[in-house]
Formats: sequence, C-alpha cells, structure tokens
Amino acid sequence: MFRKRGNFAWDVAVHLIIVLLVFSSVALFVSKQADGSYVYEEIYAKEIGLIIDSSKPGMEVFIDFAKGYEIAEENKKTGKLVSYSDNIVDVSLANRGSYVFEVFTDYEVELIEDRENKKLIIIVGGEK
Amino acid sequence: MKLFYDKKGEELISFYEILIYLVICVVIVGGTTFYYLTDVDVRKQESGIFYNQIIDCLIDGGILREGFLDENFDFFESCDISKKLFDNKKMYVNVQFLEGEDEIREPVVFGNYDFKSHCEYKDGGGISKHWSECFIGEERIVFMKDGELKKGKIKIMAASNNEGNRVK
Repeated sequence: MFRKRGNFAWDVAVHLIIVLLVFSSVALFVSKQADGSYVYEEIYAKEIGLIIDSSKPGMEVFIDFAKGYEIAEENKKTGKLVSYSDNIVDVSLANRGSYVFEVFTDYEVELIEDRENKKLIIIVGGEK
Repeated sequence: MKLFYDKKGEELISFYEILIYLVICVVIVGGTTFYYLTDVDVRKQESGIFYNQIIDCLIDGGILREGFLDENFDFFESCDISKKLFDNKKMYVNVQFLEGEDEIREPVVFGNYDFKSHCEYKDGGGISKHWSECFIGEERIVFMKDGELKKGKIKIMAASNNEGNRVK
C-alpha cells in the first residue's frame, strides 16, 4: 500500500481522508435508517389500524406512544403525528413522508395525541 | 483515473482498495436497508380480527341475528364494514349459512375471489408470501325459520392481503 518513505505521510493522509469520507457517509446513512422512524411509522400505523378494527363503537383505547413522540422530537417533526380519515391511518414521525394503513371497519374514529402522558388515545365512535 | 494519481504520476490509491471500500459500503448499506425495510406483516392477525367481527355481527349468544337470512340484507351496512378494501381486491369474505349440508341462503361473498384458492391451498399459508392470509372457521347457530327454531352452522372464510403503504 505504501511505496516510498518520503511519501508516507502524504499516503497516510490521502487514505485517511478517503476512509473517513467513505465510512462517515455510510455511518450517516445507517444512523438515518436506524433512528427508527421508518420502522416505528409502520408498526404504529398497523397497531392503530388493528386496534380500530378490533374495537366496538364507544370504546376508548390508550396506547403507549412514547417512542413515537421521542422519534418525532429527534426529527424535529411539527404538527400532527397520527391522523385518520377515510378509513386510513396515517403515521408520520419525520418531515419526509408517512406510512398509511387502511382499516376494514367503517367507524367514526378520533385520535388524540396526549404528549404530556406519552399516550395516544383512540376513540371509536359509531358507524359513519 | 487522474484522481487516483499524484502529480508525479504515482498511484495514490489502488483499484483493488477502491473495490474493497465499495464492497464494504454495498454490504453495510444493503444489510441496513434490508433490515429496516422488512415488512411488519399483520395480515394473519387482520384476517383473524375480521373473522371475529363477522361472528360478533352475525351471532348473538349462539342465535343468528334477525334479518341475515333475508336475501337483500346488506352485509357492509349491517356489520359496519367498509366496502373499499373489498372493491380494491385486498380482502375477501365468504360466509355460508348451512342447515345440515343444505344451504339456508346464498353465501355472502365479496372481495378478491382469488383468495379463496389461497385459503384452500395449505390452509392459507400458501407458497408465496404475496398470497393472502386467511382465517377459516365455523360456528354453530340457532336460527328462526318458518316460525320454528332450527339448528345450523355458518362457515366463514376471511382473508386479507392488506399491506400498508409508504407515502413519499
């Protein structure tokens, strides 16, 4: 790898810069992926969807949404994290896209974000 | 190629070194992407929940609810089920009403008819992960016909291929 004695420092510097550049971009990519927003958006959307589908009108369900609030805060996400309209649950924990899951029941549903208690309240009303 | 040589024309970084870095990057990026984008598959659970919702809707304490033997009863309206997923061919339901081996009324069938074969083959597991997931069962019922109580059963096949979507 290293050829001449005089060039040793230069060689080391070049290799260090290349290695740092390559691996820092890989590390950046991995950390972006590993912040969990992709996975948690899908998990929460499907969890909320299944809860709505298995509920009966008049039920109120509290789910632990601490991780969701934490990820949204890390990503500086503003506005609503979870919404429901037209039988579709939409979860967005970062400022880029969201995950949607369609439910098969036809209830009126209200989702309330209780950030203070790190909960999400799902209120299932009657038929639309 | 100038990028890889210094002013004196000496090689700064070899082709093989670049190749090694590339392979490492591809493996890490590919592995991470695969790990974090793996689907959370809830279709089996969803078909089970759907099955239970149908049971709750049709039967009350073992007795078939009134109106369900009428030919013009509206399954979606009566059971608070949205028609959208059935129109989009992401779900399937097949309910048979039987007295002995005779059908009391026409089966209630909606959604993607292909799912019936998915359900029948290997009990819904199928050989492809893109096949729907199913929940099949039957429940004993008591129903009123011609002014007298009769015993029967309903067979239900509930299938789902409802996967969520990422929206950009």
